[in-house]
Amino acid sequence: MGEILPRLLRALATTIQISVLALLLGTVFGLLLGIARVIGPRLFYPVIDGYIFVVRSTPFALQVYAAFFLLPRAGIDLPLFVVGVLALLFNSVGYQIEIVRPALESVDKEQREAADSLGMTRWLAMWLVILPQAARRMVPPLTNELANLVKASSVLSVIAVYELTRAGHAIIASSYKFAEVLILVAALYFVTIQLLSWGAAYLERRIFTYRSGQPI
Amino acid sequence: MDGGNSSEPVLLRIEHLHKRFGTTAALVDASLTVRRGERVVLIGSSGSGKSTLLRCINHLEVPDQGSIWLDGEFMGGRFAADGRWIQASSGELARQRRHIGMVFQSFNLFAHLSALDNVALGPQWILKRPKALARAQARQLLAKVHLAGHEHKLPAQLSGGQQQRVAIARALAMGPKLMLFDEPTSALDPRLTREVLEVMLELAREQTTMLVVTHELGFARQVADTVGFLEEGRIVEVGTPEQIFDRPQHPSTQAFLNCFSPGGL
Amino acid sequence: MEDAPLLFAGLDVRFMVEIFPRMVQALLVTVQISALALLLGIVLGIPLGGLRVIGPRPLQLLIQGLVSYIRGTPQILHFLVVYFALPGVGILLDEYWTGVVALTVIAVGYEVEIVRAAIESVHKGQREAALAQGMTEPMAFWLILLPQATRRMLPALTNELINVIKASALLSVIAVNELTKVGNAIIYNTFYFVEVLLEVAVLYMLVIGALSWLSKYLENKVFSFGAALSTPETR
Ligand SMILES: Nc1ncnc2c1ncn2[C@@H]1O[C@H](COP(=O)(O)OP(=O)(O)OP(=O)(O)O)[C@@H](O)[C@H]1O
Ligand SMILES: [Mg+2]
Repeated sequence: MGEILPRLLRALATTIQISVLALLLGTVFGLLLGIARVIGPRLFYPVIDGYIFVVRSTPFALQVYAAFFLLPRAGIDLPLFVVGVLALLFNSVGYQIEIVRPALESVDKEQREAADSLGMTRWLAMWLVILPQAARRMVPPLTNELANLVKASSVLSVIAVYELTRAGHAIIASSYKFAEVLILVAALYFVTIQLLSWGAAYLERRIFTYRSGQPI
Repeated sequence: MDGGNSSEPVLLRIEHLHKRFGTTAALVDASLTVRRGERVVLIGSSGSGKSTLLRCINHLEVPDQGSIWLDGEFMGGRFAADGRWIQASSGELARQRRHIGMVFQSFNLFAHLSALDNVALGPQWILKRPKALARAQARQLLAKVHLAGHEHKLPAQLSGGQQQRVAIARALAMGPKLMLFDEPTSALDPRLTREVLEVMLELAREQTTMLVVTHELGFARQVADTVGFLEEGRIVEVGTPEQIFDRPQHPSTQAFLNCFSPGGL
Repeated sequence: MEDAPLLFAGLDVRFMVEIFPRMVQALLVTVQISALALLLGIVLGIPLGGLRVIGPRPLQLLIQGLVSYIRGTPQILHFLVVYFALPGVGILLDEYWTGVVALTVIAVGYEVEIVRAAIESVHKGQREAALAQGMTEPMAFWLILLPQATRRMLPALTNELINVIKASALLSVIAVNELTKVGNAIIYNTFYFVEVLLEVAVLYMLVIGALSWLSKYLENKVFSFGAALSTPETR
């Protein structure tokens, strides 16, 4: 077990790296598309909705295979790690739009009206008034999204991205110590994901306090 | 307070305004003019269309029919040379709204910003004033509404009366031609109501053009040049405070005023 | 495949039609294996969910721990555990049943919570009335609580079926001939990447789209009298 754990910990670091990268890049696109879905040209709406539908109605494993097969086919040769991040990003953005949009829509319509009455344009009101208030409400679900990404990133093992699940698999294949390895892998995932879920729940309580009048 | 000067030019002209919500007729053929420097108070029972009228003026609600001119400019669109109506773009509408300050019954301060930032935001971002200047002016305006020393508090840390005075300062900061007040004190207890009314009285003294919806009849009598009475979406009677309060002509106005005890005035 | 390719938007349509029967067959395997896991999950989920509410305290904690473990670790890990652990304790199953067992584990983790929430949503006066009548706890559960809870569970169970169908794509790694696996196999044999992936994706979207429509329908129309229960969406 002594020599297994360090290898798994290094792989966990990769798992976390991939997930955090996908989360952060995903937030950029999630915000852009989420805002566009609320105040952008109506023409975009069916496109964005269609994208969300595709992401949510196909298995993530299929999306991973698609990235694995199609990117090289389109002449884009990338390291597996990057392919993995891109697949995870494609998936996460679909979910993050659905985090951003309700948060934007949850800001009281009176705030919009006050901005309108001052003569702000839609985009200025979004930037100065709606987004700053909605941002707080996005933090807990985004933390939760990170937990989901850590879980989902395990699927990248099917295209041999050397993250935690893949590493576990490789060690089992070479050592046959499947019980020890599986217990350690499960424990590492469990602790990481649990910490993130607790973090999300904690932030949720903080936000709730803010909404009932106490500033953060 | 001196009476309205009828030689002043017309600032706001509302003609034959109609607005329906589903089957409710919220405004029916409403017409009203407000001259520069004039203080107009609108009264009427709940649901009579007072808020709808104010919200139509700055196009928070789009009227179904009728026209609104502010300082000679058509609100919400324009007529092309061939007589076609062209709806204003949202950017154009935003530009027009800058000339109209609005104070809401529920304050609607930006919840994430301090009092000072609430006031400075518009001048800085909409009027593109330098930040330091916008903030200095905001400070002055807050002092004017008796809130010096409260600059850095968030809306949630202010009383209702203080929030409403910040809201007034926020609207004034844009240097509007016209101020709209929609029951600015209805959410406040009598003491806080007084704070807010005092500020509004000062504005009235400075000849600010204002259109005020309120149930504070004492205030109306004191500051108004003109009082309008609304019922079921119609402006049924317009006149000087003396005409409306002492010699109301329309039976609905009489009935409405009878509900207020004489001592309450 | 001696005919000339029939191209539409750069896609070989003739090929897509040709593989369609195999795809549909694979889709049936996907749906079958998922439905089986969902049902087995209910069979386990009802008693576990019931015990989670009215069982002895240590058992409640044990079930809660199991649920947190299943939900708090990646699905693919459950496949690995089942794949390695069952033979380890002397249970030898073929790929298909290994897959069913693993998917059942995944489904149970969510169904226990659906059952629990459904039972707790039934007014507690109902249980007390049943107990006051002289029923035992299990009797009150089976006769009073469960029948009332059932209708509220249907939308959530439909959503859980969607989750299981998506999870079943992971079976491609242990060589079950479900949709994703068959699609991959065809790609490796023919190198028709886009055509195959598109067809696979569309088939998933048809089934999952129909199920989410059904779930919304159940939620809004049929069961509008009581709040429907939900289950988190997994990928
Ligand atoms: N957004 C809306 N949707 C539907 N009906 C509305 C809407 N806004 C106002 N109404 C209706 O229009 C009528 C006039 O409403 P309005 O708010 O203008 O009245 P008000 O005179 O301001 O009343 P109050 O003194 O209660 O504020 C009412 O019957 C109201 O129910
Ligand atoms: Mg009103």
